Amino acid sequence: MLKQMIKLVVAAMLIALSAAAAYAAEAPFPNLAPKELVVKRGFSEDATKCIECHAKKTPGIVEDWKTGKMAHATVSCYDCHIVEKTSPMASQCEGLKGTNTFISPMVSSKTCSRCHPQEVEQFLKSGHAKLAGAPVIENKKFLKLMYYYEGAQFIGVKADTPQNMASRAAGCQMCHGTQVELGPDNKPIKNTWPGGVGTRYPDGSIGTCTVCHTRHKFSIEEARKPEACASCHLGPDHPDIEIYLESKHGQRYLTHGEEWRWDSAPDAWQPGDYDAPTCAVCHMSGIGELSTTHNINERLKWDLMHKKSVIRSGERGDGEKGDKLMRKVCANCHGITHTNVQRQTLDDAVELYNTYWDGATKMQKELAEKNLLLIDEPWDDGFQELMYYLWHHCGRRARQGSAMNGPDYAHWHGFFQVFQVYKDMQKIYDYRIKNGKIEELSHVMSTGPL
Amino acid sequence: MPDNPKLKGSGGFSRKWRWGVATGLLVAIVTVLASGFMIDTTNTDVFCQTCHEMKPFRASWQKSVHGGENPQGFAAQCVDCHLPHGNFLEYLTTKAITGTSDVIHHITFNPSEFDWAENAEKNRLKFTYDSACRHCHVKLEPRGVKPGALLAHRAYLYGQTDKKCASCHPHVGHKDMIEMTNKFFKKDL
Repeated sequence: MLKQMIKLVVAAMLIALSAAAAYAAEAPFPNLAPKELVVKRGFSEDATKCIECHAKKTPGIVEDWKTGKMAHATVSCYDCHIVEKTSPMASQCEGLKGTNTFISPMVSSKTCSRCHPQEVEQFLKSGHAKLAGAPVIENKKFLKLMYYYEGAQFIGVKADTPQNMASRAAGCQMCHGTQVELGPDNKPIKNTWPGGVGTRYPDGSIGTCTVCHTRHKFSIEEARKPEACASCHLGPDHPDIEIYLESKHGQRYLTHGEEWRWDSAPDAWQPGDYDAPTCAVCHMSGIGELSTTHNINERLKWDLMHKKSVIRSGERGDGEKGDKLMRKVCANCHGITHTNVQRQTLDDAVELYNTYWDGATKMQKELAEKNLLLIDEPWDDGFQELMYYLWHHCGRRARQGSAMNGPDYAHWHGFFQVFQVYKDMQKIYDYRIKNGKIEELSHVMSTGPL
Repeated sequence: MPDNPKLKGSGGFSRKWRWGVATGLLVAIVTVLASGFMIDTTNTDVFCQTCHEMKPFRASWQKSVHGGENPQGFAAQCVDCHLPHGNFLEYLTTKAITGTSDVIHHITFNPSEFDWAENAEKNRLKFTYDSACRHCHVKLEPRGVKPGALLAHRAYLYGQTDKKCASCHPHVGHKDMIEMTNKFFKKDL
């Protein structure tokens, strides 16, 4: 009896063991593969195909889209990337070959305007659209800088080669944008895509919204943070993020920005949600009695970007009106005395800078009259190169540092270097006038902030 | 008396008479053209394509949502989109001007040398009318509308944008129009 029972138990144990072994052999590891994405809500058959295929091929993109507001609003890959067969940008991905559906990887502000017409209209009026692309696309001096000098044509690199364009493709175009060129399959060529905010597309449309609301999440929270602006507004020529971060506004953002509420509705994002402004608050957001705008020129008084600072007019906006609007922004947190003092400091800084600029212009004019300037080769001419630094680098730092309360940039990287560059220009000027010739060595220096 | 012998010449018609007859004829022609019968006759797609330049546009229209390719099979006529639907006088005047211009173009220009794609891009908003679209599309924020359309239509209704219907819906009336047109006029794509 006992023997029989032992046999039975042993047999039972053997069966159990072999079953466990078989199970283990079948599933030795847990399945960590992501769940297959199947969408059944609100999307057309074609749109669903895009989503499901891209969930496998480019899961990162789909993840962004899935967790953003576009997916919630049933706006899919198809809705933004679909183009007419006859569009100059019409092409097909592998999955579309043989079908009658055509797409473009390039999506310009024109597409966004189909749902957000007001925002795009404002954006197109701003310096972030056509004007942003101008230096890289239209300006002869910068074209020579990009290709002849930076692209190393002057030491033998052939024009129109990939190396020759590398500086533009990796640098300039990433912020300014460029004119997209297409190959025979209507896909972009010569590294002319992707590009920055002022990109010009083959169908005539201008502007890239995904610079601030990066694809494919299109997050409003992201666009409200200073980091959204900082990928372009930084460095020696317009260190706006550095200026912001050293200002009291930035100090507060760095200290407790994490606790702020970032996702309130447009126009309803008000002090209280945050306790110091980001770039977006002052330049774009609805605050107090002001409504949201995507025209970043709208609240600006001075042109602090170009050679001489003038009150904005024409295609650069309306500076008189801009001043009033910006004061309305300040009024949400500051008393009138504080605002007046701050705005007066900016006006004074502009006047001071313009004094330097006028002096430089006077010297330049005189040298030109006496044939003591390399008119066709400004990048080879020490005087003109310093003059470029005067407005484009230290001059901007001085003015923008003053505008946004960044004292280190207003002073050490700003006016301190403005006066030094100016003195060097005076020395070159004196030399040329006295000797009646252009000096033989370059006086070029870098006025970078580091 | 002899310095104007033709005034009551052998024909027996005075200058006044001739003017009267000419005016009368003109009024008669205009009245006939403006009559309900003529308007109806010239409002059909079949009439429009009697000028052969219109053939590819009719063909591409027939393949589009507005040409009947919808579950109901309902089709809008050419004039339903390409004439303004504000008031009758505006409608009639535009119809007369457009019709005359079409006849002149039919006689004077060569469709195979014309850049139809560029023309569509440049002039789309000139030959489609919002009042026409909205004659049928009365509700711009209907129940179940997609959120994107809701946003855009709201901005439009509140006057916050200068966009016209055809700015955002450029191809609703004609499917593959440029392709068909170029093929019809034997132009390589």
